Amino acid sequence: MAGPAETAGQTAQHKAYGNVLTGFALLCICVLASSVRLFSVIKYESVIHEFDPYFNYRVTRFLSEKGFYETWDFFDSFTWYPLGRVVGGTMYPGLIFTAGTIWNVLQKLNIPIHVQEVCVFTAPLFSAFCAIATYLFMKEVRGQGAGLASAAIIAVVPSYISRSVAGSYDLEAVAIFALVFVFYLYVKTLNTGSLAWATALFFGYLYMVASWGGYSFIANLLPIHCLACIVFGRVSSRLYIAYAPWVILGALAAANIPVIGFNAVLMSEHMASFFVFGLLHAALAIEYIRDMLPPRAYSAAKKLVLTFGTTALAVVLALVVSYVAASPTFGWTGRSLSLLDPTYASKYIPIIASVSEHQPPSWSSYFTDLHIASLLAPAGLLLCFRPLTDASMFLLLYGVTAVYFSGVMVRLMLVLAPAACCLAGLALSEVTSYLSASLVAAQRAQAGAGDAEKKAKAPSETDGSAAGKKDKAAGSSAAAAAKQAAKKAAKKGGSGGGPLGWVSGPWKPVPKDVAIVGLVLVFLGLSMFYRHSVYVAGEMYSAPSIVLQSRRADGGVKVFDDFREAYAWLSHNTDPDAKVASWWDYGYQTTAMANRTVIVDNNTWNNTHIATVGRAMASPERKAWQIFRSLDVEYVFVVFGGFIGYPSDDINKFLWMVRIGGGVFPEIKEPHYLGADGNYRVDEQAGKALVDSLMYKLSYYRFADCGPMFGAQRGFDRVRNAVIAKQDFELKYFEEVFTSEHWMMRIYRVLDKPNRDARLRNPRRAKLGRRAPSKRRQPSGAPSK
Amino acid sequence: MARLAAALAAAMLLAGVALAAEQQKVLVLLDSPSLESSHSAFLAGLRSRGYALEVRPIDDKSLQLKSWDEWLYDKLVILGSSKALGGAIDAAQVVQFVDEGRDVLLAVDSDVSEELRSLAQDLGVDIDSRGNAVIDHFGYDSHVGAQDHAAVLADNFVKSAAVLPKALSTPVLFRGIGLSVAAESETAFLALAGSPTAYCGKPGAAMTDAKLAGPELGLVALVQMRNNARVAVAGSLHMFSDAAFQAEATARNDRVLGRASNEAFCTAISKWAFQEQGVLRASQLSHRVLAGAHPGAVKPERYRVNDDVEFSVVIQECADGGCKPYTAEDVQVELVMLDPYIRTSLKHDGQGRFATQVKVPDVYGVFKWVLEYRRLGYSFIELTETVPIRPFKHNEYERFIVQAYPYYASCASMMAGFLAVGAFFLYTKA
Repeated sequence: MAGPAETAGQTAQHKAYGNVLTGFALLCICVLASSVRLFSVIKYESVIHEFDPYFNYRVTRFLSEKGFYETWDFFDSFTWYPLGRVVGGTMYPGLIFTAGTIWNVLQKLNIPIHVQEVCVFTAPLFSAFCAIATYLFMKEVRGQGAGLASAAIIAVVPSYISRSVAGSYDLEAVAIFALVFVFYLYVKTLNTGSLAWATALFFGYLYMVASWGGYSFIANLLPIHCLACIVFGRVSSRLYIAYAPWVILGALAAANIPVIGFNAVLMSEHMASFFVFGLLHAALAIEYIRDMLPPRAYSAAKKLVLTFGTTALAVVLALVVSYVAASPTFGWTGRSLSLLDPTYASKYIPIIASVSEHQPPSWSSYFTDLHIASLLAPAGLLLCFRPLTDASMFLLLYGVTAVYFSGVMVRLMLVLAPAACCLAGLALSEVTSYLSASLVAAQRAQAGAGDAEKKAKAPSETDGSAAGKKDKAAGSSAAAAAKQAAKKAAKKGGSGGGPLGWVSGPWKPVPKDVAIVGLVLVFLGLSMFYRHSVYVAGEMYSAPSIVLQSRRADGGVKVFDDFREAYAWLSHNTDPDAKVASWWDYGYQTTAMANRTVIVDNNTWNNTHIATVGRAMASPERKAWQIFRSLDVEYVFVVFGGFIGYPSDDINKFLWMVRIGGGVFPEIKEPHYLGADGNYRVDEQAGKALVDSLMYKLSYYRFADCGPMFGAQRGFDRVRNAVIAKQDFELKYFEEVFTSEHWMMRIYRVLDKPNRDARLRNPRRAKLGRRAPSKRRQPSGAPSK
Repeated sequence: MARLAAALAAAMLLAGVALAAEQQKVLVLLDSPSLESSHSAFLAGLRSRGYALEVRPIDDKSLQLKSWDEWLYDKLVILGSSKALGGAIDAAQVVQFVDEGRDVLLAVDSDVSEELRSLAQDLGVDIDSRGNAVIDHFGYDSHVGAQDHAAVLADNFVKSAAVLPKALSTPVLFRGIGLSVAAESETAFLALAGSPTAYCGKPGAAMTDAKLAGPELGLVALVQMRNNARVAVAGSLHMFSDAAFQAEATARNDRVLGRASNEAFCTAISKWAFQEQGVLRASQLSHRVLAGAHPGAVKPERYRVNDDVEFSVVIQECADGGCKPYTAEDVQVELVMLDPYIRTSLKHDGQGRFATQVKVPDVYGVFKWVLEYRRLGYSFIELTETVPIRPFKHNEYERFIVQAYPYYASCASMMAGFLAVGAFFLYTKA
């Protein structure tokens, strides 16, 4: 028979084994999280992806050359010509400073690595960190098991992979880690009530604020949680220590990031935290007074305070409302307002609506991006009530709000991903431990029966009984823990027959067979999830989008490297001071890869400037030439997919240029660019303004002559599946200088003002008579160098 | 642009050096060989100014203006009429000759060929229909034009010291066809226009609706191309002839006005066309910070907002092979970002150095200095220099602001109070 001391020793040993095992599992999860994101490097090469990452990369390169302070004060004269951009004051520096620090540390360690490699691998590294943060967060919310399960799910959840593959050097790469880590610190502070953790929370929040504009999600979620605690009577000193310092210090932290500055106290996004801050103090004050005063005096005081409080509140509210109403967006930034009113952006801000990731997601994308997590998350929501703690209520609120936001914008699926993973992990862990405990209980019952028989038959045989005891101990301890939790929940959930009584019933094991089948099903589900995630990571989310691949009929891979080809042409063949105009999508890439000055770029801070470029693209050639000349533009390029069938080209984006241009310059009217039937088309029925527009001309110049090689009709556009309206025309004010191999990028030079004023309008001119035929054919009167 | 202008200036400088070192080659194309003797004084004048003339018939089969990519001549003089351009030369090539910065003097008469008319049109001057002539029933020369009134005395000269440094006291004897330039042309102008009673029409025929008449009627037009190449188009061959150079101007009623100004005028326009007159050279464009982030920095990479800066440039006027400081009060410079934020005139020191001191605006962005100087008869000056203006760095603001002292005080008192209360709670426990 084992004594109590021995049992304690065994427990400690078990705990040690458990910790080692947990650590090992976490290590595996981290390795998995990083390595599943390396497909892009293996399949393509180690390059920066997409659009925004190019800006981050360029600034990081600047940082590695000039240092932190120069970057902080970086005034970039290469973008938004001639306005320039105060990059240091308009960017979230978290990601760039993180990668810069990593690079500096590596340099100090004499590891000569290029900045680009650091940038490429930042995202996989931080997704491993994110798995750890998720583990810590869920460990605080529920326990180690839930933590491990959540970490295992978030490591490979496709939604997060889509923004954090190697090369996707975007803000979200570190911001999701920061988000989860801030949640962990908040919950940790909430659970411990320690000021040290509150300080850590401040630093974590500072990092989050520096990293991503999504910090405003935290800035609103924490007040919501605090408010919920107040409403449900869960106010405690722990909550106060977690929340109150965060409000003040967090606002200070946010105000110190130049891009936010005074917005931290002026914009409506931040108002909720201050409002709840006041409420929390009021609630605490009421509790304090109730403790001090006798009941009668208390009710009188309450009446007095409530009267005063309501009056004061009404005054403050009136002030806030009048302040807010004075601003056209009610004090919200356009992006935030489009979250609250999903139709807002499409009505008023075409530039926000034009971005594909600002569209609402389709239903199928929930399954693609979350897979099993979308099935398990609702179960996790229910399990948050069993038992309902401050921490699990936080998870609950996080899940519910994230689901709403993800329904507004595809981009915010990313915020939902950790929530869904945590909830799914919670459900998975509870289900698995429930089934395992049932299995153990069944085994114990069997062993108990066998034990009794054995005792009767052979009392000397102790090996089996010891094993049985051990199992029994384990089984009963698990059962006891579950019972204890259930009891606690029952206590917390209110006395007995509360509305949530059904979730806190007594613990009952399921039969052994059911448990086994259930475990097998869980295993199968997880296997399918992993299979799906790895497939998605490899096939869908690893394309860098500057290099395209297509499968040939023989199974080989055809690579379209037109973008880099054209950018390289620009950087080698044009004057270093040349200004290059294009639609804003390609601005970051042009500055980073071609190293040339651009007119507009992906940082869409000046709508008028973008509208000017949109107007030029939508105008007839001569007008466009004047606009570009006034902006000192020397080269214009368009992205054209009609030759190889690349659908996201400028002709397909053109209506947005018209809308954005028309928003500022009312002479551009969208209906003029549409066909007679109201559809956007490039064939015979195309709108007249479209055929006259510069975009049409630059895209289709010489296209009919050099059209598709596969024997289609002359001038057949493979994207629009139509024969273009006007096939043969000459350019008078632009000159084609480069067209990439697959015609995806076409670069034109904006011709100078003509050297001669030939053939201007002159009413006194006498007509030319029959002219001797010229010896050489040469256009005269055309603008030349 | 700045570079282009600098390159042009350098090219001109080189041309000037070349003038001293070796003679510039001029191809003279004549409609008929007899012109060589009848216009000998004009051609001798060119030779005496240092040009190496190569006189060829206009329809010579072996004519060549260009060998591979090299121009064989620096200037081109066409004394043309009805014959077409021969050899390898055609109108398009002459246009290219001008577009690449070389000068042309084109003189035609009433019998002008359509090819030359088309050439003139491409260069920005419209010659009237073939067969028309300039007629003035009041201002004809009674000595040679009494019969058809088509030899006119013209004294409506352009008012530009760059073209005509010395005022001409007598009119020019002109027999030929009328010209016109488009009203909105920035490059072409009339050096000699018709008198109010002159018109262009068929001699001897009644004319009631002359398209070209009065001061709109051009007799000699000058064109200053945007690349500073120059072209002179004259509607008369006769005005360059020895006979015209020697002629006495005789107004109606046989009033003798003295020797006609043909020689002086023709020399002046040929000098102008061949860059010997009215050429401005801008050089040594510079700007420096007087007070601001980096005082004394010459041609800094960027300014900071509100810097005090000085802009300066040296402009010289070159004529007859020598240059002297240019003096004008109307040279302006602009500091432009989309719109001009500063537009101010430059003051000169008499030595050709034009300068001004300004405070750059309190706006950041990519600014450029723009000096565009276009005056009638003078070569264009077009200089741009890009200088971004940056905002303050984080450590360039004032550290303490007087207005904020109450806030500093409140912070300090808050900290002191916190310390006091903390100490009270920590150490006064009974």
